[in-house]
Amino acid sequence: MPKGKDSSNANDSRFFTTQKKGELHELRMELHATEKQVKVDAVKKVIASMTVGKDVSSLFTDVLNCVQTGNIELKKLVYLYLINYAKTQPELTLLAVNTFVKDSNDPNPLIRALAVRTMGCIRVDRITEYLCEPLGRALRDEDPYVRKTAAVCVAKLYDIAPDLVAERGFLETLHDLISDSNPSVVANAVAALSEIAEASGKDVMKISAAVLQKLLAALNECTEWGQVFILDSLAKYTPADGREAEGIIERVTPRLQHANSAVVMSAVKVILSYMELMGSSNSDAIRALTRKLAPPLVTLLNSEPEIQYVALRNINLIVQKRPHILENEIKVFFCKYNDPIYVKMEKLEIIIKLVSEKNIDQVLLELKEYSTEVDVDFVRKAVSAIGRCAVKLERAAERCIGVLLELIQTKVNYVVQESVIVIKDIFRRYPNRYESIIATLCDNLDTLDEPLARASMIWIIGEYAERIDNADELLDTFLETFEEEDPAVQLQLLTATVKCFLKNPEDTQDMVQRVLDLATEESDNPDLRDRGFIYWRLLSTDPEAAKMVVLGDKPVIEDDIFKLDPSLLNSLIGQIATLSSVYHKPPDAFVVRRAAGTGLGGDEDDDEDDYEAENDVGGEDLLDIGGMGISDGGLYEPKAPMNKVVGPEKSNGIEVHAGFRQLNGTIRLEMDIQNISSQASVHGLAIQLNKNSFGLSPASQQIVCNPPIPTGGSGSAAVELVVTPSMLAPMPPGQPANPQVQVAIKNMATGNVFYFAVIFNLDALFSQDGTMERSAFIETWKSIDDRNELYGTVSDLPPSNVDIESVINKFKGYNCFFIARRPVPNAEGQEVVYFSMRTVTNMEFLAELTFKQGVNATKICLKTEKAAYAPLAKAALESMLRA
Amino acid sequence: MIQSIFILSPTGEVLIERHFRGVTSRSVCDYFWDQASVSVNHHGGLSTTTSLLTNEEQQLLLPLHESVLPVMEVPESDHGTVYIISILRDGLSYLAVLPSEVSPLMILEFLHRIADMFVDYFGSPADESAIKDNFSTVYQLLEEMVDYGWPLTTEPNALKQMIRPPSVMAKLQSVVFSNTSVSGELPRGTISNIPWRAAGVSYSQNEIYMDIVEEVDAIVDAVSGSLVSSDVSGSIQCQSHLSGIPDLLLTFNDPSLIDDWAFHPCVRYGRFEREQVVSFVPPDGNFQLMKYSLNADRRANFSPPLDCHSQWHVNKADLGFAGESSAKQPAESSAKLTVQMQVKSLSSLIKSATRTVGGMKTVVENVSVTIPLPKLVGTAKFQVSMGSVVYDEGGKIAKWTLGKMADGGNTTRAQFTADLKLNPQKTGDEDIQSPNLFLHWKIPLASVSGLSVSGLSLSGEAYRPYKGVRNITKSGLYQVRYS
Repeated sequence: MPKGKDSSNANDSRFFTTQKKGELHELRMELHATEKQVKVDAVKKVIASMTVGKDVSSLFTDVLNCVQTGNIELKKLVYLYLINYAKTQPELTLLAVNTFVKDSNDPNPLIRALAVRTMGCIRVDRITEYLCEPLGRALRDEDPYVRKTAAVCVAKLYDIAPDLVAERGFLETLHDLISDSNPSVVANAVAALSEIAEASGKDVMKISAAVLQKLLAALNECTEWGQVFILDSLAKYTPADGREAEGIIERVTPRLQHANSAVVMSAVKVILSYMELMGSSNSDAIRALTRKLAPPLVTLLNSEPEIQYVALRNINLIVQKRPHILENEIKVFFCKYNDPIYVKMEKLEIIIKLVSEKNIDQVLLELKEYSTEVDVDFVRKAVSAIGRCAVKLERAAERCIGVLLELIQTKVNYVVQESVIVIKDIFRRYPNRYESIIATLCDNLDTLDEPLARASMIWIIGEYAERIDNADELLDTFLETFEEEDPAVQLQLLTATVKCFLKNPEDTQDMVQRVLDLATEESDNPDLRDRGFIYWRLLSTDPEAAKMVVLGDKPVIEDDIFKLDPSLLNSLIGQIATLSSVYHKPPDAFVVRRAAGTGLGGDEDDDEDDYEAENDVGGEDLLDIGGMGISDGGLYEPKAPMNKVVGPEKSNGIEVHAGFRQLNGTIRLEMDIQNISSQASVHGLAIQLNKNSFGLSPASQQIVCNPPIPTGGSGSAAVELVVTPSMLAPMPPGQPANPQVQVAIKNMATGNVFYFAVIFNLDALFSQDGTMERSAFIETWKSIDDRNELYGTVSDLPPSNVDIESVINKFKGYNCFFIARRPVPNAEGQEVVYFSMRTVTNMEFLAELTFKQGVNATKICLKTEKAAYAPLAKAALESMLRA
Repeated sequence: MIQSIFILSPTGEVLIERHFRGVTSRSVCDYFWDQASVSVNHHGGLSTTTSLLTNEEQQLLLPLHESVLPVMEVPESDHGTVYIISILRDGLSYLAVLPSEVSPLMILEFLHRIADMFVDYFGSPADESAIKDNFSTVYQLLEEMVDYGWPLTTEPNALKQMIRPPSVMAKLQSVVFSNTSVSGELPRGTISNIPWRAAGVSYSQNEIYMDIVEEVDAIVDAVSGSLVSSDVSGSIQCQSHLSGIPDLLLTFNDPSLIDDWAFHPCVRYGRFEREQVVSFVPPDGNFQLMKYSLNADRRANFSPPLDCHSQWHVNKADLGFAGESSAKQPAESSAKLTVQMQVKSLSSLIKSATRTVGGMKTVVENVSVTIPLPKLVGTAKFQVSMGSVVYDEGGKIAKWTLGKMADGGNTTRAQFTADLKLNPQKTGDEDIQSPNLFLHWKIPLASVSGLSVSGLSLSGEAYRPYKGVRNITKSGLYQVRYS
C-alpha cells in the first residue's frame, strides 16, 4: 500500500510538502481512489495547496465528485473547496446544486444545516435561485440548530440578492424567529436583522413591546455573542418614558458581571443611553446605577491589553459624560510597568480627566515616576500631563510647576523640551504669576532643538521681555539662524521681537528692523510675510495701536485638548462598544454599506415630482408589509401645518414659517423663508435643535437654499430629522410632554443666529407600520386602563370632512390606520370608527371616532399607555380631521 | 462582521487565511505588518523567542504587541477603507478584517477565544509550528467557530464533540480503523439552554476539584528587597467530572473579602448579587468559574514570602587613558551578579485551616529565577549553592531552578553568582543596564485574601461526588529590579 507511509506521518505539515512534478495528476488519481482515507487525505492536500496560493482549480470536478459521500469530514472539506472556487467557476458550481438540495433534506440536522450554510456562502447568482426553497424550509425546521443556521443565511442572501429576500418574505420570517422558543435562534435572528438594517439603512429591526419582552427573556439564556447582538439592538431602541427605561435597565444590569468584556461594554452602553431618559427627578436611582457601573469598568482593566485599549477609549467617553462614575477610582488608571505603550497613553488621558484637588499629589508622584521611564513618547506625554494638570487645577499649579522644574534639572533633553512647551501653556493660563522660574528656563536655552520647544521658549521671552534683563540678546542669538528655523519658530520670533521692541524701544530698534526685513523680503512663507507687513504698518502708523494689538490681553486657555464637543459626546455615548467610540468619530464618518434608497437632505426638497415618481415604484419600502398601501393613486399626502415662528425683527430681516410632516417615512421640518430685509441673499443655513420631548435632531446641519433667496424674495427649505435617544429631553413624570421644539438657525451669509420654537404635530412621527390586527387591537384596547382615556369633541368641521370613507383614506396618508367601523346599536345614524397609530419611537395610540349623520362634529376617544403624549396625539387627530 | 481572518507568523508570513464574505487581498496584511514593523523599530527591537521565559515575560521583553494598535484603519485597501482588529498570542498575530461598524470588544474576545481553542487542541504554546502541524484541524475549527463572520460555536465541549482533538489515541485510531476526526453527530449541547454543558455526560467516579488561585504581580527593589508595588488577582479554577446535569452551590466563609468579580456564563448572577453564593451548572472538564480581585485592605496586606537581594558590579575596562591601554592588551570589561534568596519566616499569607506539613513552617515550591543578562555578555560562569542553572546562550538568559524551599534558620539561604565577561562596547560611555530578575514561586494551601469555601453542595442528581477544594498562592509577573 503506497499511501500507508503518508497517513502514519505524525502531523499535517506533510500536506504542505508535496512539491513533486505531476503533483496534480497524482492528486487526481487519489481523489478517485476507492479507499475513503486516501480520498480524505487527497482533499486535504488540495486544500493545503489552495491555502498556500497554488491554483488547484483544475481539480474542480474531481473534488466535486467526492461530495457524494456520507462522510461528514469529507463533505466539509469539499464544501470548503467549493466556497473558495465558486466565484471563478460559477458554471461548475451549478453541478453541486443537486447535492445541496438533497443534503438539505437529509435526516441528520447537522447535514441539513451544513448544506444551507454552505449554499449561502457560495456567492453565485444562479445558486441563490436554488437557495430560496431549502432556506424557506430550514427557517421552519424542527431542529433549532438548523433554524439558527438558516437565520444567518438570510443575512447572507440579503447581501447578494436583497430583492429576493423581500420577495420571499424572509424578513417577516426572521421577525417571527425573534419569538422562537430557543434563545440561540432568537440571538441569531436579531444579529441577522441588525446586519440587514445596517446594510440597507432601513430600520427593519422594529422593536415593539412584545418583541422587547422576547429579547429581554432571550438575553438571559443565549450565548455570550447573542447577548452582545441583543444588547446592541436594545441600545438602538428608544423607551417611551423613564419608567420603561428603568425597567429595561434592571433586566440588563446583571450582564455587567459577565466574563466577556463585549457583553459588559454593550450593557454599559444600554444603561448609559437609557439613563438620559430617566430624568433628573430620579436622581437616587441614577446614583445607585452610577455606583453599579464602576466595578465592571474597573474589572475590564484586568483583561488582555488589546481589550484594555478598547475599554480605555470607551472609558474616556464615559468619564467625560459622567465623571462621577469613576471619580474615586483614579488609582486603577495608574500605569503598570508592563502595560503596552498604547494602554499607557490612554491611561494618561483618563488620569488627566479624573485629576482633582483631592488626588493631585498622588497623581503628580505617579507622573514624575513615568517621566523616568524609557519610552520617549510616553515620557513626553507624562511631562505634558503635568502641565495639563496645572492648567486644569489652579490650586495645584504651583506644585505642578515644582515638579516640572525638578524634571528640567534632570537635563534629559526631551524632558526639558516638553517641559518648556507645557510651561508656556501654564504662563498663558496664569499670566504674571510664576515668572520667577524664567531664569531656570533660560539656562536651558541651548538644549532646545525642537521647533515647538524653541517657539514656546521664544514666546515666553517675548511675553516677559521686561523681566528678563537680556531678552534682546537672547532673541538676537535666535535671529542669527532665522532663515533655517521652522516656520512656527519664525512666526514666534517675529512676534517676540516686536513685543520686545514695544516694551523697550531704545535698544531694539535695529533688531526689529532686521526681523521685519527678514520676514517680509527674504521669506516666501505667506503667513510670515503677512504678519510681517501687518506689524510693520502698525508700528509705522500708530505704535499705541500696535501696543494694544500685540500686548493686549489674551483669552484664558483651558485644558480642553481632546475634550469632545457635547453634541458629539452625546452621540458617541450611544455608540459605546463600537469602532466609532474607539476613534471618537461620529458613526457617519464610518464606512457603512448603504442602499441607494436613503438619499440625503439637500436636493430632495427641490423637486416634489420626483418624489411622487419614486413613491409609485412601491416595492422599495421593506416595512410596508402585507399590502396595506396598495396605492390606487388616491393616497392622501399630508401637508405640514405651517405657522409663523419668527419675524424679521428677531432675525435680522428673515421671516420663517415652519411645520413638521412625514414624507416617505422621513420626518421633515419644512420652512418657508421670506427674506424681508436681510442685506445678503440667503443661500445657506445651519440648523441645530435643542433637546426635545421627541428625540428629534437634524440628519444634516446644513440647509442649502437653491436658488438663493434674494432680499425681498422668498423660498422654502426642508430638513430631514432623525430620532435619537440622546436628544430626548428628560421629562418630569406625570407632566404632559412639551410639544415645543426649539430651533437655532444660523444664516451662513451674515453669520446671524436666531432662535424660535415650533409646535410639533405628533402625526409627523406616526410610523408606517402602525396598523395592527383586529384581535390585537381589541386586546390592547382592553388592556389599557380606563384612566388613560382622553375624550374630546371636534366641531365645526366642513361637511366633506365628516364623510367616513374620506376620513379613513385621509388618515391612511397620515399613517393612522383604519381598524374597524360599526354602527352604534340603539342610536340611529351613529357610527364609530377605530384607528391605530404607532410612532417611530414605539408609542401606540388607539382612537375611537364617533360620527353622527348630519352633524359636522366628531367625538374622539383616545387610549394609550403613554399618557404624557396623549394630549399631543389628540391635537394631531384634530388637525388631521380639519385638514 | 468579520470579512476575513488571517494568522501571521512571527516574521509576518501568512499562515492561515479564511474568508467569510468574499476574498480580502493579502495586501491588507502587508499594510498591517509595515505598521507593526515601524512601531517595533520605534519602541525597541524584536529578539528571538526562547522557552525559558513565560509568555508574559516574553511579551515584556519582546515589545511587538506593545507597538501595534489593536484597532487599525487601513485607509485605501483594494476594498475601500477596512479595519483590522488584531491580537498577539504566542508570537502569532491574529487579524480580523472588518469592512464596517462592529463591536471591537466582541472581535477581540472572539480572536482570543480562537487562540484559546488552539491551545486547548494543540497544547501550549500554540505557536507557528503547532499551527503548521495541524492546519487542517485549524481550518475545521475556524469553519465550526465562524459562520459568515459571526461567532458560531465557541464552547470547547461542543467543539470537541464535533472535531476530536489530535490526540495520540485519535491518531492511532485513524490509522488502524481509518476513522475520521470529525463527528457525524450534532453535539446535543450546541443548542440547549445550557450551551456550555455537553449533554449525556456520564462518569463512574463523580468528582469536582476547585483551586482557589491567587496570583501576585509585584515589583521588588533589588537592593533593599522591599516591595515597590504589588497587585493580587484571584480566580477559581475547576475540574469537573460530574454526570448528568448537576446543579452546584458554592458558598464562602467571608464573601466580603472579595471586591470585584466576573463569572463564567454558567453562574447565576442574580443569585450572587442577592445572597453572595455562587450557583451554577458546571461545564464538563476544566474551566474557570470566576475571577475576582481582593478588597483594598487585603490587597495592601501582601508582603513577599521570599527575601531576594541582588547585587550587580561592572568592572569597566579603563579606556580613559589612551596611551596606557594601547600599550597593553585592550582590557576586557567584566561584571558580577550575585543573587541571594531566603524564605521569610514572617509572612502575611493566610494558611488554610487544614494541617500543613511541618507545622507552621512556610514551604515555598517551584522556586526559580529567570535572569535576562545584558546583550553584551560574552562568556558567563555560574555558581550556585543550591539548585541548578540552565543558560540559553543565544538569548542570554539564565534560569536558576531551586525547587522547594522551607523556612528554617540560616541553612536555607541560597546564593547564585555569575561571573560575566563583557564584549567590548562601541559606545563606551553608555551604562550597562543592570539585569532585572523574574521570580517564580508557588505556595500551596495559602492565600493572600484568606478566602475560603464553607460549602459546596449538589442538587439535581442523586450521586454523592468527591469534592476537593484548595488554596494556592503563586507568582504572576513578579519582578526584582533596580530602580
